[in-house]
Amino acid sequence: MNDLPIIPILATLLGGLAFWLMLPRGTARGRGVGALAMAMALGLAGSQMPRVGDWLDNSVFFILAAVTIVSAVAAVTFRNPVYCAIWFGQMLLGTAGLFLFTGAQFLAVATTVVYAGAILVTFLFVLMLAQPEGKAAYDRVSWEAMLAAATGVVVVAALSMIIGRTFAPEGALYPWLGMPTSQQLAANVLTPAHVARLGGELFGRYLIAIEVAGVLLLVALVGAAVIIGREKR
Amino acid sequence: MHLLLLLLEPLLKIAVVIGGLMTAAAYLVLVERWMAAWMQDRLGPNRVGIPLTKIRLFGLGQPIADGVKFLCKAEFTQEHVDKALFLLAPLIMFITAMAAFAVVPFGSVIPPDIFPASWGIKEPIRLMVAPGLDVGIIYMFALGSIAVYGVVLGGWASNNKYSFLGGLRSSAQLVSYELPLGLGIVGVLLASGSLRLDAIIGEQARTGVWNILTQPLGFLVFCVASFAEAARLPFDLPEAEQELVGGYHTEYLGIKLMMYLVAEFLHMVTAAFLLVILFLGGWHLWGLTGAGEVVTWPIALLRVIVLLAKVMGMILFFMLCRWSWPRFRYDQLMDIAWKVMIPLGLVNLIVVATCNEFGMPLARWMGVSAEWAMMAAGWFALLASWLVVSLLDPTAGGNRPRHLRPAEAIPADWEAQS
Amino acid sequence: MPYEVALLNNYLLVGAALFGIGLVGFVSRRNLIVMFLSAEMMLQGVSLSLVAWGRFHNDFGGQLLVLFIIAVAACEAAVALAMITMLFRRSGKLDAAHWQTLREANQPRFHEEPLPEEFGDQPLPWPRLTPAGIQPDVPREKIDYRPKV
Repeated sequence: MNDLPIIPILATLLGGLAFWLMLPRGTARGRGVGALAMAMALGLAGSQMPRVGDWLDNSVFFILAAVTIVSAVAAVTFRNPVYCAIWFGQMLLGTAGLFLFTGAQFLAVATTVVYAGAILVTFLFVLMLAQPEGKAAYDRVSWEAMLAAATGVVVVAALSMIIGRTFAPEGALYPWLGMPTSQQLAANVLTPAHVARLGGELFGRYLIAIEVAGVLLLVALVGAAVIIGREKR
Repeated sequence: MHLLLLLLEPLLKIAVVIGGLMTAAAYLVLVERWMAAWMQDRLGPNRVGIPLTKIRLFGLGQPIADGVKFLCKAEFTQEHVDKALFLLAPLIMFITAMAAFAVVPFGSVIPPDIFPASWGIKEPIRLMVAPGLDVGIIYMFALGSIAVYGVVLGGWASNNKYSFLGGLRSSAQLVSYELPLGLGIVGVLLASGSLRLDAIIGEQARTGVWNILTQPLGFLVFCVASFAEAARLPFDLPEAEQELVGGYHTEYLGIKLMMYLVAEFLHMVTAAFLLVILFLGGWHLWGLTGAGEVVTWPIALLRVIVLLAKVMGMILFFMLCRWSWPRFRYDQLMDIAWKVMIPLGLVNLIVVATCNEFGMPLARWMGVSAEWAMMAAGWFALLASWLVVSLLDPTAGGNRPRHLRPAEAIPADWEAQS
Repeated sequence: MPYEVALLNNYLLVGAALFGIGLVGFVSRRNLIVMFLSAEMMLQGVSLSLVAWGRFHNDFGGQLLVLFIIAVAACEAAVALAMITMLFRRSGKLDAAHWQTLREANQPRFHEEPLPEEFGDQPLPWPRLTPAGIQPDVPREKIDYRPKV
């Protein structure tokens, strides 16, 4: 009983309760309290996460992570679907920032261009044309809010428990097997010629995958056009 | 303290960039009004000179007067708008327009030997806010994609049918023309081997051949696409006053409207910068500016001046185009994007890729250097595709009806009949 | 903890959180578009984990798999939008609870409860102008209130 991680368990349960309060349940009560409780849960969880480098690196990472997770929660709990889409876009920008923080520059801009710039805009179009009056009745009541929040608690708790156990000093990864040195990183993943190396790997080792992805995109394009065009009889 | 010194260089660059851009945005409006006046054979603004006096100074105080007017306007938010999105939309557009200048070089480098030795500057200072970003130009595309939100949210939040339609139209136009924008650039990227804008200029300086000479088709595609991305005539249907009142910024006033207008102008400035850097050689001028990285301070200064002069020339070309042509109809606009510009961009890509791969044997067979072979291929591609497009696609050659059946052909004496 | 290990740990936690939040959104929301966005959020959580592991193992494979995930997500978005548009054409709304014929044999039909009246949902009044000219012959409600957009 002594080595039960009290604060992470408390954070997860509080987060689950806050999520249940914030999900659209047909009334506006509890949303403010839920938001506050979620902020507290995130703060508790963040205090348990290890520090990443010096204070500047740490602050940048935690700000990006906080922005991402808060936007994700907002994207799921707001009642107006256009706001959900906008918060989803903010979450994409947060993940793009996280990609940039870890050295995946091309992925950061590719996520922004493709996901936030094309896919989400298309969804926004469909939303605005299909639901011009904003939040409808089916946006204000969700299915089984309590069970959904409980599911989220179980999933997040299980995942964080596994991660915590793996990275604990007596865990499976110690003594930090496979950790790369900074010279190794600078030669490979964090090389200054990032795009050149990425392109080399993409068209060298993963050439067939790229071609298959191209064919898949073509098939999806034609399929989408056929599905929509067929209705106009 | 060490951190502050480390951050000082980027912060100074950011301050210079933002200050310069805001002043430029204000005074470019004045230049546009002079250009409009010149083209329309009238006098432009010439009364507002030095503030608080009656000295007329060619109307140079006009932007200050306009700015003060915007700031002092009674700004209220209407009751029927979606307040959060109403405020957010111009912010998004403005921030992305500004942030795009983080990867734009304003010159090449400042040599380190002009600073006093006690400052300890040993490496040349690159005149770019974020020189380490390896994905230079795609970063600008990412911000251009985010800028679409400013338009579509502004139209939606205004709770007004005209604004909504204008926002949808404008965002569809912006999204459609992102594709030719990218395709026009890929040829340049293949030729330069890097995504970073200073490396692209360096490659053009090294070979001495500007990309407009070897890839004129790419230049055409990119030019048309950047006109459309900046929503300048002949692609400014989204804000066509005759049809949509004001488009997506109908309901805006005061500072928010100023942010929209400034963001549009910054888009134009960004497009001009990109055109100059990618196709017109950037700071390179034959024989004057040299091609290397290590330069003396007069050459560095000359490079900055050459780049800014070229950008100014390009901006004047943009303004000239605005006051010369009528605008495209919306379906014509979309047709041009999808049916003309994207195929042309693909043709350019194929030609450049083929030349890159097989250009050397061809050049040796022709007896000229590789650049001349690429130039020949590029201009051939331009002329061939021009011919094909104007023969095939009636949209490109005006909207005249073609291939009429004989029974419907216009009789020779139609003038006398009507 | 060394820098790389702490970075990996934190990225995996953020990815797990995103996955969980997306999961909750997918099973609880009824709007088809918001459901799809939650599914995409799960994919983003997985992408974060992939990029973190890629950096830890000093391999580009993590980033490249995320690139393929983006391509596949674009395809999925195209087809999903096509289907959502078709469903909207048939039912007139973006409600997932409308399609009840796919439920299991012993599952009762989902009945929607009437919503309590919410403050702030009053219909918007027209702006008031100084009266001038002839009063139009229109019922009072139409003069005073109007629907949104």
